[in-house]
Amino acid sequence: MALTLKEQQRYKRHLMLPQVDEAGQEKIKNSRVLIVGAGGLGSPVAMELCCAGVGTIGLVDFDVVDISNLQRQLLYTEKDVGKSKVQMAKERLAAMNSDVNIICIEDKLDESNATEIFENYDIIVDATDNFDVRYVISDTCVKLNKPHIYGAIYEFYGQVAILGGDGPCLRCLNPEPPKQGEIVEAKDVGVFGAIPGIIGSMQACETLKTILGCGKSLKNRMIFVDMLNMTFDEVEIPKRPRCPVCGKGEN
Amino acid sequence: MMLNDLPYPDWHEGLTIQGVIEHMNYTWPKLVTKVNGQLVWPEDYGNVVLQENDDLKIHHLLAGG
Repeated sequence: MALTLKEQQRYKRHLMLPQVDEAGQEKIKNSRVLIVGAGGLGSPVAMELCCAGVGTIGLVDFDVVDISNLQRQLLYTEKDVGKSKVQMAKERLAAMNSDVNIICIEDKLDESNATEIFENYDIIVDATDNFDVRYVISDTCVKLNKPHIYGAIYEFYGQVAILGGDGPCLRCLNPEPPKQGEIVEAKDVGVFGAIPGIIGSMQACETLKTILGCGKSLKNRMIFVDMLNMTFDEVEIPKRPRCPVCGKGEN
Repeated sequence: MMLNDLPYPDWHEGLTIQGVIEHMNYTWPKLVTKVNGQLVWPEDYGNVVLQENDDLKIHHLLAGG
C-alpha cells in the first residue's frame, strides 16, 4: 500500500534516509509486529514502533497497571492504575499515531495459544518477564520461522539478540529454562528506571531494521549492556547442531 | 587469565570454566560464557581447560522485562 501525502509529511525524516526511503516506509506500514509483554520493555518497543508507522501492532498482556510500574513503564500514567495494561496502551498509542492498527490480546501466552496468535504477525518482540514464556516464544518462532527479537533486563543490566527463524534459538544458548524457584520472580527484583527504555529502544531498532533488511542486524548475536559501568559486550551464538528445536535433535 | 576484564588471580593448571564458576560462587542458574570471544555451551563448562592468557567472560542470561 503506497504512502498518502499525510504519511509522506509525517515520515519525512525517515524518507530522507537512503536505508528507509519511500519503499522502506511502505514496508514498515505493511508490517505486522507482535509485542509479548506490555511492561517495562513493551512500553518503549510499542511507542517506537507506533511512531515509526508499523501498520499493525499486537500487544499481549494479561496484567493491570500497578503504581509501582510507573517508575519505568512509559506507556502508563497515574490515571491508568488498576486498569488493563493492553487497553490503556491502546489508548495511548492511538493518541500517538491514529493510523496504526493496535490489537489487544488480553491473555497469558503459553503453548496452547502461541501458534494461533503468532501466525498473524511477521515479527515477534519478546518483552516478557520470565523464562517460561520466553521459551514458548522461542519454540514457536522456530516452528513458524519468524524472527524472535529477544530483550531482557535486570537491575542495571540488559541484553538484546535476534533469535528464531531458522535458528539459533534460545535453546541453543541454554537447552532448558530454569527450574521453578531457581530464579527470583521479576516483581522481587530491582530495575533502574532508564534500563527498559534503552533495551526496548534497541529491540525496536532491530525490529525496524529486520523489516527494512538494512544494516548489520543482531541475528545470531547477543549484546550485553552494563549501564552501571556503561560497557557493552557481545557474543556470536552458533546454532547448536543437536538443538532439540531448531537443530537435528539427535540428543 | 582475565575474568570479565579483570585479572583472575587464582588461575592454575587444569582450571576449567566450571572451576571458576564454583570458585567465584556464581549462583545464577543460566549463564552465557565465552572464552577468547567464542561462546561455550553449558555442557562444556567442565571440559574447557583455561590457559593462562585466556580471556573469560561470564554473563547472566536474563529474563526480566
